[in-house]
Amino acid sequence: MTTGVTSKPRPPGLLVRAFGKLRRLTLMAVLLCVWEYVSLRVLDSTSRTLLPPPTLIFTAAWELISSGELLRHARDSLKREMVAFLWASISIPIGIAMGWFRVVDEQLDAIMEMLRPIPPLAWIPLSILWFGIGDEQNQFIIFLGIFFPILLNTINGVKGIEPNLIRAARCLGASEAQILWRIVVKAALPQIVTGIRIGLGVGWMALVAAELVGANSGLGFLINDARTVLRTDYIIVGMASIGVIGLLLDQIIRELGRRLLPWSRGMDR
Amino acid sequence: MSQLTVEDVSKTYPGHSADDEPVLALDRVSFHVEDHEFCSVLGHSGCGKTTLLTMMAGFEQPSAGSIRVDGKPVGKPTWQRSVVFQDYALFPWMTVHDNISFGLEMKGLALAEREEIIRRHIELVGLGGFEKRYPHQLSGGMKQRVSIARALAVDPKVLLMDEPFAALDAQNRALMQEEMGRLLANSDIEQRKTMILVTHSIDEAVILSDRIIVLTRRPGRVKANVIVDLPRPRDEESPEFISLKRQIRDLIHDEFEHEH
Repeated sequence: MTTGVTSKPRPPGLLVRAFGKLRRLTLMAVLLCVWEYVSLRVLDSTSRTLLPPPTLIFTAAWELISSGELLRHARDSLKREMVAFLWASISIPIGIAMGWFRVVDEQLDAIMEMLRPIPPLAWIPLSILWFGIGDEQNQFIIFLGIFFPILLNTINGVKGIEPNLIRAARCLGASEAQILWRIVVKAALPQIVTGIRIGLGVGWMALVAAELVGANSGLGFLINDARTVLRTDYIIVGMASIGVIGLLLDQIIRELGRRLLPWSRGMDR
Repeated sequence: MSQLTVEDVSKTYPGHSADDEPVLALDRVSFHVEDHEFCSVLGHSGCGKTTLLTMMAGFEQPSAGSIRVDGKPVGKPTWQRSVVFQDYALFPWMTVHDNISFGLEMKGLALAEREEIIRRHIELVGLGGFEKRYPHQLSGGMKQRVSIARALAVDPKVLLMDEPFAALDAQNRALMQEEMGRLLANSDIEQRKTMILVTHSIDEAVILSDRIIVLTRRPGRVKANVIVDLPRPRDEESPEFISLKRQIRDLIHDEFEHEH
């Protein structure tokens, strides 16, 4: 009766884990040292402007952080990402409808397939004419980046439901509406979360591009602005921030998925 | 607690392409299952036995003939004919407790009544203490116990089981068959549901059934309708048990020879 319950091996101690993590950073530390050396000892002062040593970049990072400038740009970018995400979450009900109702799928599929291959960045010129430069235009580009990954994953999630789950619900007396809400939507959730993760990633990439050309704030604007005054250290700090925030966003969604959908083994990956 | 009648049921599927001949899966199958009877439908894989079960449940309609429960033709799927699936079909986002509760909620039962029924059925299948587990935390045998509890909890007229033990390893399968046999032996005949079991295991059919319908290879026809009148729980060593097994094996084997 008690056989076969899955159990996890005990995690190793904190120190062992910390050491394991640190060991992985060896090559990175060596590369940073090489970079520092090359920048300070090998390059002349003109070239050094183009590739400042890590120590200078850390100083620049501290400047940007302590002045609050980096935080302000990051906040503006994140706000755009979140507003766009709220709009783009309309793709979840659309995807469910397309996955479940054949009529909806037939009508919308052609339209979506036409729009989907157009990269969000290709919309930049048109969107600048439509919205001007600023938040709306940026949000529109990000929206396009987030929308389709969520839509496609939602459709796949709904279409990929085990047919026997639906049959089981039917023979337990569930109505069609109950099957849609209590079975279909629930069963598709892990894949919807995956779609949100991918979508936020694509949106974040699109955001930076949109800000490069059409914004007065944000991390994309920061690095492009720094270029005009040849502050390579600021550019690199900005790039690193974009990377770190992108990674954090992904981790947060992953963790949320794990917490909210403990039953889904797919979330462990 | 109900009779089930299968009368002249045939099922044809369209071929893969328009030019293909339609495939006849079942050919004029007829039999009758009495109140409280445990009836196995036995046959080789591909003989259409699962098709027959999906039609009994109402997931598909017969191409010809009719299936009736207590004289009324079978319509859409309902809790009155609940199904135990080979792959369990448990809702992975629900705990053991919630899986069993689902059908009761669909029936609109009040909370207190639901909890009482859930408790009784968890006890029945021996899963006390596992109420809060999710399906992926359970072994195959335990999942199938939950699935059986879930199907029984809605108090169906007929319980339909589609190769419920086929996905289990040999040991677990034997254990589940034995437990099911004991359950049938211990339950009051008047309380017992009418049950249909689709299987390819002769042992399973003989251990559990009051009646065994042997189907031919595709297209499935009724080859034999065998009444098993051995005392429960069945003694697998008894001469009667062994001779009945041999008799059914010969029926199936004969079918095999016939084909080749």
